[in-house]
Amino acid sequence: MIYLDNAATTHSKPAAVINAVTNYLTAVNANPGRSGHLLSASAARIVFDAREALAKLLNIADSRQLVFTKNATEAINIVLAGWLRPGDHVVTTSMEHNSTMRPLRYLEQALPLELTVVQADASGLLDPRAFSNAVSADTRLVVVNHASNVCGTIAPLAEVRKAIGDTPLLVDAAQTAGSLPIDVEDPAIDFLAVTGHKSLLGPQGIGALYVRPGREAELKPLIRGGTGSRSEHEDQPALLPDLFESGTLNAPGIAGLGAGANYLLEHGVERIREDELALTGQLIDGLASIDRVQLYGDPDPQKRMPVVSFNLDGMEPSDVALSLDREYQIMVRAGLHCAPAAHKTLGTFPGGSVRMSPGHDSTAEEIEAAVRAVREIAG
Amino acid sequence: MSDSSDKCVIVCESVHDVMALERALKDEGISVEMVPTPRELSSDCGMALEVIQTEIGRIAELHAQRPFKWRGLFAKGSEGFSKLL
Repeated sequence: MIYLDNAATTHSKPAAVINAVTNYLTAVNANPGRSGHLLSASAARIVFDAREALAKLLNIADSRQLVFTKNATEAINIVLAGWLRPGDHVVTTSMEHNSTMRPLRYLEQALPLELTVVQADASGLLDPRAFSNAVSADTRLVVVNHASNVCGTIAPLAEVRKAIGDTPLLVDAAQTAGSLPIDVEDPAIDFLAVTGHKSLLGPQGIGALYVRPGREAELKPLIRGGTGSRSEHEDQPALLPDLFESGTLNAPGIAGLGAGANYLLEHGVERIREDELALTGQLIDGLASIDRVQLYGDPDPQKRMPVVSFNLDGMEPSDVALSLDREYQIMVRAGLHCAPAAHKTLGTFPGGSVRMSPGHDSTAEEIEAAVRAVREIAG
Repeated sequence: MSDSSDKCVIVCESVHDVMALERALKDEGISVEMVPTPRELSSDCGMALEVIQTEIGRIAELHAQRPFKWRGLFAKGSEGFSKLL
């Protein structure tokens, strides 16, 4: 079996992640911080340590500013629903996932908002000058997908930050966190949404939102409820992380995510990035050598994540994926990848594409086998 | 084991702050114990930290260098808790 669907979720988790989840469920498994007993304290320590580890990985000085969510989608929704007000102007891009586009399109009507979508070129590249033109004094938020989940193209965040000045910036790092170094101070990010189950190597159902210090004063929570703090009050505590963490946390998931973050701190995101770059280059070169293959995105692996989308002339993406799965036991993802705007930009809407996404433990042999399989299917 | 009257209680506003303070004090070699927050003090956070009174001087020094995020350090006397720091 060859798993090349790591952009959807990383299949293989480090032993430390599995052990952390198992240990939590077997040896701890109390409600973190809700009670004063020993197990509750142990659970709270695990949550604290995980928050600290993830904060360190993203260069967040005060881990209070890092809020656990169920995924990147929830993190993005907290910001869009809690930060934007009627009449606000928002700038986003044509490479967004539906985790951003759907709530924005909803709010565009419901609040309403004025929405400007910066168009990427046909390889998914964004021109920072387009942001300078799009942003005005009324712009309340700029939302940028750090890298496309369809073609892997990386957004020029530093240049975007320069172009938009001090305008608050929300970055969707679902496809990059853990696979590409991220520093919330360089360039300055106001809100960063990450998911735990992709390159951060944690389990599904856990993610996080970074909120730049001070921004929480104008950010309303999506839900309110019990936090284990200020229990005598019927109003939501304003302190972080409690303001955005109502209800019992997904502590087993947090334990796993913390172990994933520690694994990445130990092994180095830069090193993983180098390995994945080599595999991405090998995959692009191999697929490009097949006559019927149409590749999408920038051909330079340095400008993209390990996400490679392609089509075979005359074949439906779903048929290619089915053949890879059933005849070669190679797992990929076909279709629109929850990103119709990105596919429209790349010219692959509504048919979609076949997406191959190597991960942290993919091998050159696996890439070679995948290219060979595509060549055989192409005939 | 010290008598309970030798102990002080540190109360924070959130579980995160309790954990951060526990880590900071332990890193300085100060012995702390996690306890349920005494009802008389607050229900800000269900957990509190218990320290031995003889450590108050060092904790005060550390607090002066890098202020802790806490509600305070309390000692229990015959008429209830009093705030020391």
